[in-house]
Amino acid sequence: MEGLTAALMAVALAGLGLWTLVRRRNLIWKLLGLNVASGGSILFLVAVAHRPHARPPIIGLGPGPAADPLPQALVLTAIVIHFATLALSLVYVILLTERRHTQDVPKLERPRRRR
Amino acid sequence: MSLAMHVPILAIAVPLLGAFALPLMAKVHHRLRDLWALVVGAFTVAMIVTLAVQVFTVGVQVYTLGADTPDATLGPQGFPIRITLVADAMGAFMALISALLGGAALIYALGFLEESKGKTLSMSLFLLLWAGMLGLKLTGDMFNFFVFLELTSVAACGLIGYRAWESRPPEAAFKTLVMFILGGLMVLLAVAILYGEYGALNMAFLSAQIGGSLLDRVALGLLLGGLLMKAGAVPMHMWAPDAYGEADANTAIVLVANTQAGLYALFRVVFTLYGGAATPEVGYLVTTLGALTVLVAVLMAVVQTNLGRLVAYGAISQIGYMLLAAGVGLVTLGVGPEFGRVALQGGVFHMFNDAACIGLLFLCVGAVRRAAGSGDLRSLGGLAHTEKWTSGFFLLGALALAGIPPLNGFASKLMIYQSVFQLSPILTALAVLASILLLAVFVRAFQGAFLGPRQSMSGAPLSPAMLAGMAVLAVVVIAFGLVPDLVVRHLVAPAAEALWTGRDVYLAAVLGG
Repeated sequence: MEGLTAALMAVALAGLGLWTLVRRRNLIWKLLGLNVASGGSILFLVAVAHRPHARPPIIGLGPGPAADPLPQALVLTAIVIHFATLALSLVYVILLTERRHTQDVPKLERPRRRR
Repeated sequence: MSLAMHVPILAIAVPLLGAFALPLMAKVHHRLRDLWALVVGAFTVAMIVTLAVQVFTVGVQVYTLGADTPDATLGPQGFPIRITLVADAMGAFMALISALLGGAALIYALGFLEESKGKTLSMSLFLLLWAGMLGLKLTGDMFNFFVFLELTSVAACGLIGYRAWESRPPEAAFKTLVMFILGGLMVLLAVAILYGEYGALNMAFLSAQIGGSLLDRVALGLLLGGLLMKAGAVPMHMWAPDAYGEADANTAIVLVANTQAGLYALFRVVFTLYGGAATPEVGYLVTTLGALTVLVAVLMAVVQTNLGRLVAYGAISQIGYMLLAAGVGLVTLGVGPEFGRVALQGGVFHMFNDAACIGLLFLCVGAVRRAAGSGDLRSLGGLAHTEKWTSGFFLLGALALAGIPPLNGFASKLMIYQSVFQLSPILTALAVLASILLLAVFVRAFQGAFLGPRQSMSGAPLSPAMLAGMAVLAVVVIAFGLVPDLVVRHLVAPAAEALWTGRDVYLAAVLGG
C-alpha cells in the first residue's frame, strides 16, 4: 500500500513539475519545473521497487524477502543523467542572459518576429 | 575469443573512448587530433560494416555484457539478468545509416570547422553523439535504451549550442534540450512502469510478457510521446527547425541521423516491444501524425527565407513520410496484407535515401554559408558562377528529395505511394501534393541562391575535405537510384522484414528456443 501511495505521489509531483514548465514564463522557473518533474519520475522508480516487509538486499542478513536492488542502481544513473542535462541547460540560460539580458520567454521570442 | 566476437560492443566503445581521448590528442598537435578522429571514425565504420555483414548473412547477433560467452543471455534461473546488445537486420540497417552520415560528417568537418572556433570540442561531441546513436540502435535493454537516448540528447544539444559566441545557437540548444529532457522523462516513466509490472528490463523478455493491460498502454503512450518528440514529428517539431537551422552543416547531418535514431527507437517499441499486443489504433495514430508532419512541414518550408531553415523543414517533412509508411505497416501488422509489407519497405528504404539526400543538402548549405558568408535567400544569388560543385550537389539532393526519377528518393517514395494508396487514396494524394510543393520550394531556393548575376562574395573557398564529404553522399544518391531493386532485395527487405515478422526471431535469438 505504501508503494502505491508513493507511486501516486510521484506521479503528482511529476505533474506539478510539468505544470510549472508549461505555465511559467521565466527560463529558471521552467528548469525548476523540469527538475521537479524528473524528481517525480525518479521517486516513481523507487516506489515501484517497494516490497512490503523486505530486508535490505545484502547477502548474509538472513531469510525472508529481500528488496529489489536494481531500481536503486537505475535511480543513481538517472540522477546523474538529470544532473548533466540540467547543468547543460543552465549553461545555456547563462549564455542567453548575457546576450539578451532577459530570462523571460516572450521577451526572448520578440526579436525573432521582427526579423 | 577473437576480436570479431566483440564487434557489437566495440562499435559503441570505440567512438565513446575516442571522443574522450580526442581533446588529449589535440593538446599534442592538431594534426594528431585529425588523424585520431579519422582512425576512430574508420574503425567505427569498419565495425558497423562487419556487424551488418554478420547480421545480413548469418542472422540476429546477440552480445551479452559480462557473461562467459557472448550468447549467454539468461541467468541461472532462466531469467535475463545481464545487459544485452541485440543487432537484428533493422538495427544493423540503421547502424549503416549512421556510418554513412557519420563518415561524411567527419570528413566534411575536418575541412569545414575552424581551428579558432572550438573544432576540438565539436569533433569530440560528434564522436559522443555517434556512440550514443549506435548504442540506441544496438541495445536490447530498456534502461540502456533510456541512457543512450539521454547521451544523444546531451551530445546533440552541446553540438547545437557550441557556437556560444553567437546569440541564436544557445537559444536553439536550450529549446531542443528542454524538449529532449521532457521526452527522456516520459521514456524513464514508461521504463519504470514496465519494470514495476514485469520485473525485467530486457526488451525481448518484456515483449514476450506484454499483453495490453492498462499499465502497458500507459507506458506505450509515454514511449510514443517521448520518442515522437525526439523524432521531431508534428506537433512536437518546434525545436527541429531552430536546431537544424542554427547548427553547423556537419552537425546538422548528424542531427538527421539522430532524429532517425529516435524514429528507429519508435519502430522498435511499436513493432518489437509491443508487437504481440499491437492494435490498429496506434497505427492510425502514427499514420495521421505522419500525414500531418508531411503537410505542415512542407507548408512551413514554402515561407522560409533562410536556406538552412528551408532545408530543415524539408528534413522534417521526410520524417512524415517514414511515419506515414510505418503507420500503414502497423495498421496491417498481424493481419498481413501485402501492401503493409511494401509500405514498411518503402518507409525503411526512405530512411536511407532521406539520410543521403537531406545530408547532401545540409552540407551544401554549409558550403553556401562558407562561400557567401550568409544563408539568407534574399541576399544570395549567382553562386553557380563560382561554386560549380556545390550547385550541382544541391540540385542533385533537391531533385532526389522531391522524388524525381531516376534518383533514389523516387524509388522509395513510389513504394510508399503505391502501398498507402491501398489504405487510403486521400493520404497518397496528400503525400504526392506535398512532394510537388517540396520540389517547387527547392527550385525556388536553387534559383534564389545559385542562379542570377554574379555577386561579390565575402567568404572563403571550399576545402577538398568538404567536397569529399559531399561526394560520398552524392554517390549514394545516384547509386541507390540506379539499382533500387538490388538495394531493396539485399538491404531493405531484410530490415523491413525484421519489423514485419521478425519479432519471433528476435525473441528466440535472445531468450533461446
